[in-house]
Amino acid sequence: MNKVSALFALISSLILFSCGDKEKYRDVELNVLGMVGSEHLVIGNSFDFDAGTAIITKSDFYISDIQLIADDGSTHDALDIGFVDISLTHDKLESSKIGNTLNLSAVPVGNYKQLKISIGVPADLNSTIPSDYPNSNPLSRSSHYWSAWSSYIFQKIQGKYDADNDGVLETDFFYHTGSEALYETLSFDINFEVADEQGNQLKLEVDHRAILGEGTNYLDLEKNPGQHDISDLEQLQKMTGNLQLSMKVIQ
Amino acid sequence: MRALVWITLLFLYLCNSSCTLDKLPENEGDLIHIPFEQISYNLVIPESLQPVEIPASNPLTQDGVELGRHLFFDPILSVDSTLSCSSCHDPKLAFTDGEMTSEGVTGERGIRSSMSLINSVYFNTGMFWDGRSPSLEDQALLPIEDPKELNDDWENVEAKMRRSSFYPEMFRKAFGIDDRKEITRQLAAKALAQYQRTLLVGNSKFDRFSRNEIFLEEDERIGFQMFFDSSALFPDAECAHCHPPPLFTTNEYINNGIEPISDLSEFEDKGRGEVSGNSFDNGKFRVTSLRNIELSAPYMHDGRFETLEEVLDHYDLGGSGLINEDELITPLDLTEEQKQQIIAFLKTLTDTSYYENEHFFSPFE
Ligand code: HEC
Ligand code: HEC
Repeated sequence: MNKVSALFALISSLILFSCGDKEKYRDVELNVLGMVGSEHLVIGNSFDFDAGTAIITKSDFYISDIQLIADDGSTHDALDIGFVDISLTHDKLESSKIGNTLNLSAVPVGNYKQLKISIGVPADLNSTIPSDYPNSNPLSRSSHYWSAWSSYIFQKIQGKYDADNDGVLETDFFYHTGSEALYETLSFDINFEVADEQGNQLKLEVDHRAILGEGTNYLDLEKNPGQHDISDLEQLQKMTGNLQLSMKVIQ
Repeated sequence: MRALVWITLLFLYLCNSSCTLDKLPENEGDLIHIPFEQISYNLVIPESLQPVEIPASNPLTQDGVELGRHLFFDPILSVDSTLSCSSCHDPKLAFTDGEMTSEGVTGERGIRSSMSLINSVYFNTGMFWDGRSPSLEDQALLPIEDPKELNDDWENVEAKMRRSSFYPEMFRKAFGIDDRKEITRQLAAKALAQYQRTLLVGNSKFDRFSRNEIFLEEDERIGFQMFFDSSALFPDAECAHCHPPPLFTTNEYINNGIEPISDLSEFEDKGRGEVSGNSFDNGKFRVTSLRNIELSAPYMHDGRFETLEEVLDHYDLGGSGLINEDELITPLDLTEEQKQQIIAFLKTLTDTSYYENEHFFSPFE
């Protein structure tokens, strides 16, 4: 009997020891919130833009190569590709407050100093086409492939604009980005602990007024309302140029 | 003499139907002697379509699909045995009915036009024009009790299936039930869903052109270029934003500007707005696939356009400018010739090779 319990104790301590030695992993939620300045974005609700008033009717993007850089400099690849459908989840104020959630699974417990994300589809995946994938894969979205460019559409922002504030949203604008030249990598300094417990969360706020640009880099919604032509990249480059400033991470 | 024959026939008929009712073997395990082996259905996916996902809770089996096919074409599902699913979803018309809105058993019409069931395995954003039903399994439960469709009630349909001379055996083979009492609406819906998931069509002229096997005619090619905005020589018709391959739909809910009104509250049929409860969704309907569109006139959720010419005239004008109308609905400035060229292209999406496949047609004929 004594021998048996001794053996049992030995085995359990071995198990405990080896477990304790292993790296621990936890899921992290990346909660993406569509905003207009400090307010929640609601599809179809108007907000001030430039000298007029705008509404957003569609907003979504591919997010890819999400990496967390640990305090010791090591990099954790957290997600290859995901799709953030802001229009779908921001149709009412209550749902806008909840936003979209991407799950970053099995992130090593520890402290992180940087989050890196890219907006768009990386080159290796951008050479594939939607019909390669079943519906559950974000890359199956034929709505986000433009065959004339041989590229996925990385981001769509659509809406309407009332330049002279007369109550009539006279201009329809739509900006669809895509192709390698518009693949944008962003990085955010953070001080984030992935704790050994449930409920680790990072919030990413996406300010739509800032994507359309304020002051210096604003998109001329009136003069250049439509853009899905990569032979004329100017407006789209402005838009992707605004991405870093339009997004911020809240811990 | 004649009367006598009729009376005898009537008598025999009455006797027969009441007898079957009386003698309905309600014994437990009355089907156990029939072998049940689930053989998975070999779904052949056309090269140009996506990989298919089948829910684990309802795998495709040979017997399940065959049962679904029988139910689909069988008027047993309607109150007076006059209509079946196929009455409004005729295989020859890409599984639509050629009507503006569909007429149910009572002669009453619903407010919407029948929808094509081809490639419905891929429609993953909700079934119906407004997406109010989440899956083919859920959808299949609805027409039976809809007063403007089959107008029966499921208990009655279950009873009819249980006393049928062949359905109990088919349910046994499809789902392994032990006795006919276990025949339920849920199993019937599963079988119908299985059958509909097998209705894949995707080898049109366009597909063969995409694989570099053939050329398009000049008109079709110019239509293609406008549809996809792939040439600066012709106007951009914007179609591919909402109707991209492989299915020529995005499955999104969109207001494509067909209703000439000026306020979101004015939609008689609120479409998606009714389902989401959000007025900004009023008048949004699911973008439908343009594969085989040539076969499924009239067009739109209420069948308002009789021809593709009328559809093109609508898009050319660029909608009514309502606040939730999609920004890509914009005047196109197409000439009559260009509209015809886009229509010529749309017709390259027709693939009637399935007419030769008896699986798409009634097992009762
Ligand atoms: C009286 C005519 C009628 C009958 C009978 C009928 N349908 Fe339909 N079906 C319609 C109409 C009309 C719609 C579109 C309704 C809507 O959007 O509200 C539809 C839509 C559907 C859809 C949705 C397709 C999509 O792309 O979302 C499916 C699936 C379907 N029917 C299957 C069936 C099945 C299975 C049966 C038999 C159990 C059946 N229908 C019987 C008229 C009919
Ligand atoms: C902004 C998105 C959008 C664009 C651009 C668009 N469509 Fe549509 N299309 C839709 C929607 C949404 C429906 C269904 C609307 C309804 O029934 O109320 C539809 C329906 C149709 C239908 C009828 C389908 C059926 O099953 O009855 C045809 C045909 C069609 N579109 C062709 C075209 C062509 C050709 C073009 C280009 C000239 C085009 N569409 C551009 C969104 C769009």
